[in-house]
Amino acid sequence: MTPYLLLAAALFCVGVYGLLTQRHGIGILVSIELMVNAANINLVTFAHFRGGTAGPALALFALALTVAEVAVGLAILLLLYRQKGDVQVDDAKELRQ
Amino acid sequence: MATASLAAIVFVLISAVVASSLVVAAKLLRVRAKVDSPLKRRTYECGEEPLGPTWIQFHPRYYVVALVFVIFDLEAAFLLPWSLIVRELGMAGVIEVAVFALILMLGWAYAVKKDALKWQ
Amino acid sequence: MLNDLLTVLPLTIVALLGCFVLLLDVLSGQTDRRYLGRITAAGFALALGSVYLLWGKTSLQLESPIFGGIMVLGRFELLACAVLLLIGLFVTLMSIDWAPEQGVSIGELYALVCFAVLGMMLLVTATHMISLFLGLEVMSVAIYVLAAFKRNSPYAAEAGMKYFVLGAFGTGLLLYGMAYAYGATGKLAFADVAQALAGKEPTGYVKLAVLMLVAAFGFKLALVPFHMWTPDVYEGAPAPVTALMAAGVKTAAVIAAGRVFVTALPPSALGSLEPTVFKILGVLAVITMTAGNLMALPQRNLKRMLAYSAVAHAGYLLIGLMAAHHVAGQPQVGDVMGALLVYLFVYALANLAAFAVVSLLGGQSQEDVSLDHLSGLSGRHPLGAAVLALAMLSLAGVPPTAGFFGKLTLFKEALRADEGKFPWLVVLAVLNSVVSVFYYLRVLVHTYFRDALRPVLLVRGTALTLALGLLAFLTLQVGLFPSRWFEATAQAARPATTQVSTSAAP
Repeated sequence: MTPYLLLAAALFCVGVYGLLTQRHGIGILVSIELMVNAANINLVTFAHFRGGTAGPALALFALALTVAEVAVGLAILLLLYRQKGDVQVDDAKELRQ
Repeated sequence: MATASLAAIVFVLISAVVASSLVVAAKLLRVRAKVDSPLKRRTYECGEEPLGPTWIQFHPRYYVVALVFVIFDLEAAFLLPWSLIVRELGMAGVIEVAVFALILMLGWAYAVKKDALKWQ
Repeated sequence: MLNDLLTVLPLTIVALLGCFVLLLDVLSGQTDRRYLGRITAAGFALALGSVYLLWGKTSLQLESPIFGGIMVLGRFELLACAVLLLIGLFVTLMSIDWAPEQGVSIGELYALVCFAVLGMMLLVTATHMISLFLGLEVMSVAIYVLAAFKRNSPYAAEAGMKYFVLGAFGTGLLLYGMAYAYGATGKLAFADVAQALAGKEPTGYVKLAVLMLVAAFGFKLALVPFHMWTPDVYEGAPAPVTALMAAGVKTAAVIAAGRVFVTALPPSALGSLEPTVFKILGVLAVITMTAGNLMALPQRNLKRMLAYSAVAHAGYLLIGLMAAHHVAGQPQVGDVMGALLVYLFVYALANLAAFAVVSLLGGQSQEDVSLDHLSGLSGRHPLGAAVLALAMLSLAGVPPTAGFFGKLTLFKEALRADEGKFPWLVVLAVLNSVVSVFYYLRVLVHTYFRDALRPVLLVRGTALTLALGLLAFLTLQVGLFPSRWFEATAQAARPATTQVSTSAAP
């Protein structure tokens, strides 16, 4: 079980690191997907080694819902792109810090 | 266990033999060109001339279609676990999934009405 | 099954209302969308009526878990749903006249408000990780879109992006925490998680799960190290949407967090981890309310000021959450949850009133509302000025407004929960409230005692006036006759928080 959990933890850390450092909008979306899918790997791993179906059920919901979330994120990025001609989130600083 | 790994080894061997024999056969049987012309080194020796670089941006309109596709694609994932136990659930399960599909259809109707699927 | 379907009637009505409004907008093709707003408002009123109907129905087994234990809709949840529906109703009323003035006459606005409220109602009724996650996502996704709703405004797109990135971060943390809670127990229903953990030494999985869940709720509640998005999003998002965020998201998130930390992770389940968790939450509460109030002091933009005020109030609410967590499993927890709900209700009323006035000032695409814009409002729109004054007094907790009684009950219950641990938290909270009076009253000074420098264009409309009048009435009603409300909530909360064992959940 440990290798799978380590893989998930590594993916999660990459996701968090990416989210905190990425300046490109698409990179941020990728990082979010990494974090969520790390959690999904965990859920499926626990269910596989310990039995039970609740984990994969939550993983299924998480997959579908995060796709909707990322789709909305992409739409917001597109809106930002139309206004600024770029998707570097650094440029989004009209509002005071 | 032993038979399973034996089958796997045989499978790998056969595929290696088939793949390599195809490559060797092509080497032996090919018809060589008399002269090495620049035309021969083109991606396509006949048909369309290649236009522009391959690093192009996708049209933003593609994004809307892709979005609709991805969402419906993943919502359909909910049907897979249902299909495994549809016999146990009986009629109630069918009705529930019908309602689920109906809601998806509403979303589809909305997308069509908004012209999200038209390429114009 | 039929019992279950009947019990979720309010949620069904809101879901159908959202779909109906969405399709009606594309099918009718009318350009004036005000009628959609009126339909939505009527729909919310209908859903409120269904809550009233369910409240009186003794034939339904209200307090028992429904749909195999993924949710429960007892009296406490019905009250919480009523608060959320009321928030939806007021946000709709605010938008009807405001949207055309701002050039965002888009029908999806109302459908998205419906879906956001639906997500919030799922969130407050959830007793299972899956339904909790589902509710949170339905709510969040709708609000990401709403925040970026004003397409011609660069502020809105930026607010949407910031809310999206940090919200998605919170979602990731929540899911990872849930995965480890599942790893530690093999269960996802709250009661089962608590049962599986009870009396055992917490493992590394449990520690990780608790840490992740605290951080995830920290993002949703805007606790201080996780609050960075709040001022920018509150300022950039359209005023009615900010009202929905400030009132609705906070109500839903606090009750969901309460449920998780009372039924899934009560002190008995945390074992030796409990003192550490208590310390972490206590430190979070103190820095949240202090930092929130200090950062609100210099703000001259009304929306930004309200954002920091929301942060400060999250700190007070966290004290209530800690108290509920502390007495989990005892009958007293009903009183604490009831006090939390009352606090959330009066806080929602005050915020809705404040943002209704911000919407009022949003004539002709005006967005930025600084204190100077408020000058002379008392002469130009007496009702708006009065409502704003009531809202500010209520937020500051000045008697006899509703806010005073909200704070009083919450702090009283916190002290009653454990006299040894809570006094210093409550003392700090009261000191903070005193500091906060300064910046709330400054708004009043500008509204009533300054002459207009740059008169802004006001949005005129019957729906907005109706919303303002109703909000003023409710704030005064709760403030002048508080005991009825408190008794009702405490009674409603009592059975809900006694443990219900869930079995059939997947």
